[in-house]
Amino acid sequence: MRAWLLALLTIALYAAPGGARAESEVVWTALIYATNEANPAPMPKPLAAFGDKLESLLGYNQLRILSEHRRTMDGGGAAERWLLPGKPFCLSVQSTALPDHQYLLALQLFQEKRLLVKTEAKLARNSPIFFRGPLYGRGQLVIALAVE
Amino acid sequence: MEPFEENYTAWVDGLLPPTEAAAFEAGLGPRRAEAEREREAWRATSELLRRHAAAPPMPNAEFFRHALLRQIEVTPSAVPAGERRVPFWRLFWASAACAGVAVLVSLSLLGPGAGGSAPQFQAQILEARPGDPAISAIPVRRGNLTVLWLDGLEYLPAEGRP
Repeated sequence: MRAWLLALLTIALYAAPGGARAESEVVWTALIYATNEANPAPMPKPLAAFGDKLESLLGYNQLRILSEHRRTMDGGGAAERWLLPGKPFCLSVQSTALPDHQYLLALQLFQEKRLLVKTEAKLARNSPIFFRGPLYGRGQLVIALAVE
Repeated sequence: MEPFEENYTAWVDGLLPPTEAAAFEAGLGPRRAEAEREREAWRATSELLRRHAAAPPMPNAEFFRHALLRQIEVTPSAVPAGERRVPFWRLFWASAACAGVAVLVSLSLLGPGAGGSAPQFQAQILEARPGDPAISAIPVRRGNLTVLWLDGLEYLPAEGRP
């Protein structure tokens, strides 16, 4: 009987949901300038894992990070809010940690003081979200969100 | 207990007052003879018990009680004392087996993406509401990438570097 109790305790400790988020995670947000270049620069490190797919999906062969922000999530489930400042764009992010390395995001993208879009999204590890923004200069502005 | 059973028991024991006994007997109707036979049989049994129920006095009661207790103390148990405890090796192997099961369960729940090689869950656009009717927001997915296409935005000249 004691052996079975010990066994159940062991299983409970190993399979507890809290174990799914053992280390703290970072939510990365970035404003990216996408262009087509004859000799494109290497893909920025945070985007390297998605390079080919991203090129074909956005239609640009060079991505350059204009500004970025990293937010360490405490994993406690409380909502955290931050801004990705830019000119003329500004992204407001409210993130709530969910189980299994997922985050519920409430996003607001502004151009100056004008609200362009309000979005609710689930962000997961190794599965980023991109906003294809306006045409800018010779290319396009893109906003990226990813769990590192 | 039902009223009839209560009255019947009291009647058999002779505890009913005469008027109530007479009313009860009248209520028995054709079963009265059978009920009286039962009452006589019960009374005979009671009398027999009353006469022979007393146990014969035991001359050395204390001696017999002491002897019985000693017999109980020296009688060996069916299970040896050493085997009543769960041996340590059984605890160890049970724990090890359960830990193995727990690891397998954890791996199956977290999947191969737990190490970061592949995602278990995909990003998902739950809702996109443009702030301007001229703007449209369309989610597009390719593999593990999700892109929200915003159309209808104004072109930004190059000099206004973000």
